Amino acid sequence: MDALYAVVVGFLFAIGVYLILQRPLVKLLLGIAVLGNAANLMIFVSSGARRLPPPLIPDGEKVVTTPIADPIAQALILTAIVIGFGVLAFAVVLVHRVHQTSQIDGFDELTEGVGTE
Amino acid sequence: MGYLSYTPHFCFLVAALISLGGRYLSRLPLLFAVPAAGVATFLATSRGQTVEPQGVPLGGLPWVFMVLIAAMGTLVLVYAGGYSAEDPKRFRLFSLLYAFMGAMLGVAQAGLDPINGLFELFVFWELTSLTSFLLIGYKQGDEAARRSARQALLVTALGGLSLLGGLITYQNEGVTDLSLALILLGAFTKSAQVPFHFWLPGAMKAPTPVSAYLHSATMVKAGVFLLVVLQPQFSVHPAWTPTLLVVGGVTLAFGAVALCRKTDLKQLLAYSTVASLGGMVMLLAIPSPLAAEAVGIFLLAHALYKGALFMVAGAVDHACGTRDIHRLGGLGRTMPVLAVASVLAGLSMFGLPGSAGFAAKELGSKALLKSQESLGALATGGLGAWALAGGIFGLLALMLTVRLFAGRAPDPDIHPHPVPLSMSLPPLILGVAGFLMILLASAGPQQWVQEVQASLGHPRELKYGWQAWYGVDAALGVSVVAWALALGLFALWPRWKPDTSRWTTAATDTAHNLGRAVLSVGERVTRVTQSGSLTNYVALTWATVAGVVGVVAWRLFAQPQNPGLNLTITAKSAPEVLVLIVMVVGAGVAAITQRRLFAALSIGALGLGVAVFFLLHGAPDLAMTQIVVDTLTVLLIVLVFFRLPRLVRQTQVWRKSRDVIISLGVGAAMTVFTLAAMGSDRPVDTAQWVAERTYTEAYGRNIVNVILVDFRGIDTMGEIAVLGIAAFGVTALLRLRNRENLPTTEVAE
Repeated sequence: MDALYAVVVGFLFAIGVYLILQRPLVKLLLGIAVLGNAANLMIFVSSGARRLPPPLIPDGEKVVTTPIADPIAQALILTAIVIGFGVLAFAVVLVHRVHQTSQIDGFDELTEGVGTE
Repeated sequence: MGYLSYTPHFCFLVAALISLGGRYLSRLPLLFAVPAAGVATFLATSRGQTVEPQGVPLGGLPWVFMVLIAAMGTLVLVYAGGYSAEDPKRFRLFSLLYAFMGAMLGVAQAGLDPINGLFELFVFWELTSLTSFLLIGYKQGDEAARRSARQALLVTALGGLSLLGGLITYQNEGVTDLSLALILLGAFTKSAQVPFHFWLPGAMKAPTPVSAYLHSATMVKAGVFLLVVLQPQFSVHPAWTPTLLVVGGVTLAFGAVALCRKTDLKQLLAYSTVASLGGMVMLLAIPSPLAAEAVGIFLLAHALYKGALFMVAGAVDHACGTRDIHRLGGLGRTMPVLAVASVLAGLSMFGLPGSAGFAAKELGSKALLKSQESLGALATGGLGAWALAGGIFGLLALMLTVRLFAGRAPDPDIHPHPVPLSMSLPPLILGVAGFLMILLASAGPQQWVQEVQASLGHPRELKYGWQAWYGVDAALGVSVVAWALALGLFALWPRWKPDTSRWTTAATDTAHNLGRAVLSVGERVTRVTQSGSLTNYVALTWATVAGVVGVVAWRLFAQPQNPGLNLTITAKSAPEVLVLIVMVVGAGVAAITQRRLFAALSIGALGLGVAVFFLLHGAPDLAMTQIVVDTLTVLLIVLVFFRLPRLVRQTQVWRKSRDVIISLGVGAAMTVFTLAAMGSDRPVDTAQWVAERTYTEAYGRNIVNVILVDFRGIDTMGEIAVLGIAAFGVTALLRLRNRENLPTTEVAE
């Protein structure tokens, strides 16, 4: 099962990179979204994805004694999800703006001087 | 005296103030020399006081050098006031001179405690290179000046890098072949030793005050200074003495012979400076207290007469509009004060008994003669170079006095105008000082030489010191040979013109060609790597990522590790498999679809799959966040995508295959990396530490939330800031459209 997780993570990375390498601006945005998910998933499975109860301390107790899912990885990923969305939102608007001012379809046409006249 | 260590800072401050407000005082040039005079007086009277933060007493060569820097600086600033009278922006020159003075004082001060102050030494050393670059290129409009400045910077900065490497190696490994070689390279480039001498004659493109200050009295001596202060540590290396003797001796002989062919006053002086620096390097290599005495006396005598002669050359140039020795002569009548200054300095350079130059010449000969027992042929060769250079220095002195000021003017087209007192007084002071060294020897000069002895690790005991006459011995014989040579050559001059132009230009040409070769290689590399295509850069970046991560991951993976990998797939894991399939299909469709709506929806499916995966494995917080973000992402993409161009299929086969190969590479590297991460031992301490304190210290029950808002609260604040900045960016970009009336490509809604 773990090997399968690793392969899926690698697949998502491959798709993300492939999308980023494509010429159309739209694909770049899709690639960023896929890469974000791939990275989060990678941290998650690296911390040992098992069917364990969430990291909560039961009512009436001070510490948790039974096995729980790794809270550190979850905290990291929670941050990453939100930041990833911030990056994507900024990228979406930036790409939109680039297209609006310079009428280009892909980044290869984005050279010095385009859109500044 | 807590202010003692701030003299460099003070100079930088003055430089900044002059560059800000100097233009208002441009009519009072003498005023600009006042701060330097203050620094000189302050330093001269502060010997023995503790310099913080090093906590060492001010003394030794560093002290002598600092006083020399400030005192020469004062005279040069006075001189520069007269020299630059017609330059409306001359406050820039003054400002740069102060900046240079600060850097130079910093080098000297760091030399007080060279081992703990190695990196201060390096930083100030580089600052002297930079300020020297600006000063050589002061005449910005002059292409040749810019080229010379660049060349000097390249050579001395290369030496600076080498010095840094040497200092680091020394700190880690002590005195080794490598650290010695690197440090020597740094010192030799700075002090213009053969074969790195060529930048110094080139630097004569600088205004003459700069040449007098940097390229005779101070900066070029920084290399000698470095060798002196590091000598106690490095002279234990067996290569120290022979290397310095040979390099210094060769430089001494080369510089002296090369100057014979020159006709430009400043070039003549530049080559004689190269020779003198060689002489100093050669003398300091000899491990005897007598040689240390000679180094100290030569250093001071040279600074006095060479500084004066540079100033004379500049004044002559200023008055006559040429520096060609063949076109000049008989100037004594129009500029008598300058003539006296030149004669005094020239006599010192000639080595007349009673002058500082004579003391230097005699002591150098004595040190070389005495070291013949221990050093053998090297010392004999050095003595030969010393006598030869002494003779040629004498020739130069005769040319700069008799030829320049006596007799008749050979060129009737030159009508010299008198020079201002501010230009003839500083060289006169230096010229007189050359004799005061002997007359007032016990009032200070003897002590200065003792300080140099101390820096070279010898007791403060002078065997001879400054004297007007040292008696008749073998050393006097060397001087007599030099005098005879000088008079003989002067009699032959100008019939005797050895062709040395080939030697003198060879090094410059080599440096020039090397520079050109580096540039053309650089251009070629740039053309290949900087294609201007963003996707090519991205492809290269990802290919690098795949390579680096792949290698690291493979090495991690290949290590014997814990076999905790769960490799079985049972019926119980059916939900996981299903979710994984959703993710794979979502990502796959996003990659190949031509329809924008499909692409957006499949990204949504991928995100949802990830959310469910989180939910299955005990991460409900992640799942909830993921669902919210995923929904927003899909909305955002759908909203914007229809304003963007349609998707087109990649048609170029080679590009497509390149993209596929790189993506597969990244995917494979990440797979191995993930496997390695999953299989390695995970420290559980942090998770346990957090879990134990979540309720007892932070009074929360959701461990993930407590980590985010409490244990890593500052991090989360940073995250909020990042989101805020992104939001600002988005808003700004969207609002931009409303203000400018730019054409848009919006699809009609």
